[in-house]
Amino acid sequence: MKKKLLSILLICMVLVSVLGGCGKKTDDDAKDTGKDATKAPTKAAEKKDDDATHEPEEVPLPEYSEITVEVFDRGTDGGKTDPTNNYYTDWIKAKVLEELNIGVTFVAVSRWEETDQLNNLMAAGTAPDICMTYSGDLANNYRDLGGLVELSQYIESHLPNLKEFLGPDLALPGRDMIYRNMDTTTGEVYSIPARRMQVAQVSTFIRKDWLDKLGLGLPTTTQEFYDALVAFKEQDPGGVGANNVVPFTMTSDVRWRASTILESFVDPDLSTEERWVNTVIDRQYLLPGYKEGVRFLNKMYNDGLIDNQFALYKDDTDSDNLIKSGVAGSFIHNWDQPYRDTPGLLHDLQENIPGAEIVSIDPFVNSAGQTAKGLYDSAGLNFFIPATSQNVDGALRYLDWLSKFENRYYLQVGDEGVTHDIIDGIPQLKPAENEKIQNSPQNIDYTIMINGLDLGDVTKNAKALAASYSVPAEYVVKAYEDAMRDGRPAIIVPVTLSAAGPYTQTLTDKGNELMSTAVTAAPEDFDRVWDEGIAEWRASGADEIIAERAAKYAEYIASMN
Amino acid sequence: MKPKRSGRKTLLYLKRTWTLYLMLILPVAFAVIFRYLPMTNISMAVKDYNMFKGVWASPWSDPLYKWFDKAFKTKDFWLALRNTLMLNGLDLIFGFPLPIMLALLLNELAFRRYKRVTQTIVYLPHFLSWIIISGMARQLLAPRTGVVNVLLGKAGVGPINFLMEHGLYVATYIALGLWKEMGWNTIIYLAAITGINPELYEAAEVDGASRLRKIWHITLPGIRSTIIVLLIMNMGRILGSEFDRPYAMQNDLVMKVADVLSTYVYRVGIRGFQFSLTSAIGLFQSVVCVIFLFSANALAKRFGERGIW
Repeated sequence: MKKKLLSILLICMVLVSVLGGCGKKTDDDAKDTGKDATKAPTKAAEKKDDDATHEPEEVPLPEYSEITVEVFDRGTDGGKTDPTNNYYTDWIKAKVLEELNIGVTFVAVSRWEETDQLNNLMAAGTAPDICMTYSGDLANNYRDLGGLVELSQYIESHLPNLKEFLGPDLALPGRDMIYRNMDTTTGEVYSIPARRMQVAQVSTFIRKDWLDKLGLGLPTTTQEFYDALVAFKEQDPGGVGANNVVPFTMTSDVRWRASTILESFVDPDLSTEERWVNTVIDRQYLLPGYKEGVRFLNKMYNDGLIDNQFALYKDDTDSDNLIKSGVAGSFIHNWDQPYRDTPGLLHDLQENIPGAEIVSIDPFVNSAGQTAKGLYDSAGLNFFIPATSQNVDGALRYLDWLSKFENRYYLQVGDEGVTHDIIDGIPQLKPAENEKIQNSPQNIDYTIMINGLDLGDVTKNAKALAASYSVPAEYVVKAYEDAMRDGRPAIIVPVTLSAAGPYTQTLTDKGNELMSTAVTAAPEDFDRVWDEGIAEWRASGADEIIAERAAKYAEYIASMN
Repeated sequence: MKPKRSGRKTLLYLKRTWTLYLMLILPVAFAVIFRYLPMTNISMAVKDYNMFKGVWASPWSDPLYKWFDKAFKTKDFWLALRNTLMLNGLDLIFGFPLPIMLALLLNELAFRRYKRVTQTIVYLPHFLSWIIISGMARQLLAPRTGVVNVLLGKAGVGPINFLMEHGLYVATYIALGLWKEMGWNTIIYLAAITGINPELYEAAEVDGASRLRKIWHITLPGIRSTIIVLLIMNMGRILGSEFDRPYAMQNDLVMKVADVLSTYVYRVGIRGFQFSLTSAIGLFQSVVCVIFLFSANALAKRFGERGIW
């Protein structure tokens, strides 16, 4: 008896669970009780839309749809807000819903692991409808695998505002910037670049108050720079304790955090072709002279001038903290890095050590007597629409909406009196302390087609640039001049490359390993470590990429004649 | 005649036990759907996988063993394989006997409350993630700002580059693994020890056996089968590797000894789009693990133990 009861009970349970599963579905479909919060507004909006068609005097918006948009999560601390849910995202969501009848959801991707996370999203088919990356190779890889929407058919019809804003391509006369990533043979466009308002890239910074204390001027040669660091180490002008002084701070991203030093050792007489062909995934390791630059870093390291923990720093955080706490003497970074509100290097440093000063210098002279350094291309980050997108039309309309001056302008400068003051007709940005704080400078993480402040007027832009920082303008002007002096414009060759794709990540990692091991090698081992590392780097795919670049370059030159 | 009778027997058996089989359906369905169906994706290893097409629509690679061939010709793969074997081997050598000793020591503590507190303290690190531990390791062991090196510096020693020199990195890696897991691994031995009949100890006491004698002749034989089972399972893991531990701890200067198969697969495969290559490596890894598992089990049976199946 007992057994029978048990079996009946079991059957009932199975039946209930099976029927229960079905029941839920029919329930949702029939009644739409709004259990699913994201579903509810869809239905409501659809109804509204139906109503609208009955009243012809209202301009009918397209049917309600939803899009997802990638946004960088910079993981910055200090009162910043959730990048996917804050005052500015609310503003975008409300306005886009009203003007386009599109619901926008932001998807955070870590700025520091953007390629990893984007790869995962793309592979899983869950990538946002609008994605972006700074890596052109990555976008090319997605393109080659057939993962992106072809956009050339939409540019004239859907993206007039974007096309107008991006304007003509300065590096390739006669072409519009929106067509920068176009395949020259097929005319297909899979990604669109953002426009950089200014192309200054990198500068060198030093603690001026330390130099003053030691009676030294701003270094004007590599040797003077070196001597200043030695003086920092030996005389500890900041009084932080001889063991704590870090004359030069960098991270495991040596290539970037020592770029002005390294660049000054590269042969200045290289032809455009030599330079372009041998620059693999933006790394210049193979350019003549680069090795001597690394040797110089090796000497600095072995003389105790570089933080001996740099290889443990996988992002900027630790290095930033050294600068903020006032133990670091100099560093190399974005031309305006110490003056940005985020991470607020100078601001926090001065809070810790009143009177501390970080100024830009330009001491690294190459064999041609110039202080050469890289400049950015006027095309910046690339954005694209994954082939898995269910709402290409909505994504395009959103992009074009965002390109309208009124929208991007508000996102960039915010509210008067809160994030900017109008002085002489120029909006002067200032850091907000409340909910309207901007997570990235001028909200570049939302205004993805623009990098830098655009007021719609060249002279206004120049004035606003200097005034856009919350530090004295002379710091910014000097840093800008230093970063632009003898700057080497980016070389643009409009060919379609695809060899780098599968090797990009391996070469990036191996390159970092190469740089770290070479810098920390004993001086007598340096040549061996470097040559072995380079041989391995070449064999890991660099040679293959160089061969492709050489062939494409030759093809391009031939097509020009 | 015979088959008919056995058929009736089966029917009778089923009639009596069908409810039990009914209860099995859910767990079996779970295993099939979530364990066995995903395994079909292993076919990636013999296909030219395209992440946007999916596994089934991707073309077969030509030849089928293309990705295995490619992996076995890559220097980095052999390096990662060597490191995996080295680090897991060292983990086994140090990480296997120590928990047994610790369990024996804990078992000998007479004061019960002290024993419990000690036990809890030694297994607590198990609950910290490797991300936290690697962060702590950096705070403690970094050459310039690490507390350990600052103290060593005060004593006139060092700095010792625990995290950035090959040999020291391996030692640190193993030591941290011990610190984290040793206490936790004692639990199963302590449980086995409680299962030993106390009369044996009483009898030994009457016979005048010393503590060491009792450990040697009663406790250790009493937990022998547990030890063997755990050893077999550990052998099965010798080529499998955890991901978070090596990934969180490695840095550019020690990649030559720190890159293991799991991190290699992650770097080259997930980040570098070479999913087919890495499934091939993953498959290779699993097959070797299964071989190890079976041979350890066979060996255990040969020595008269029960094995795990």
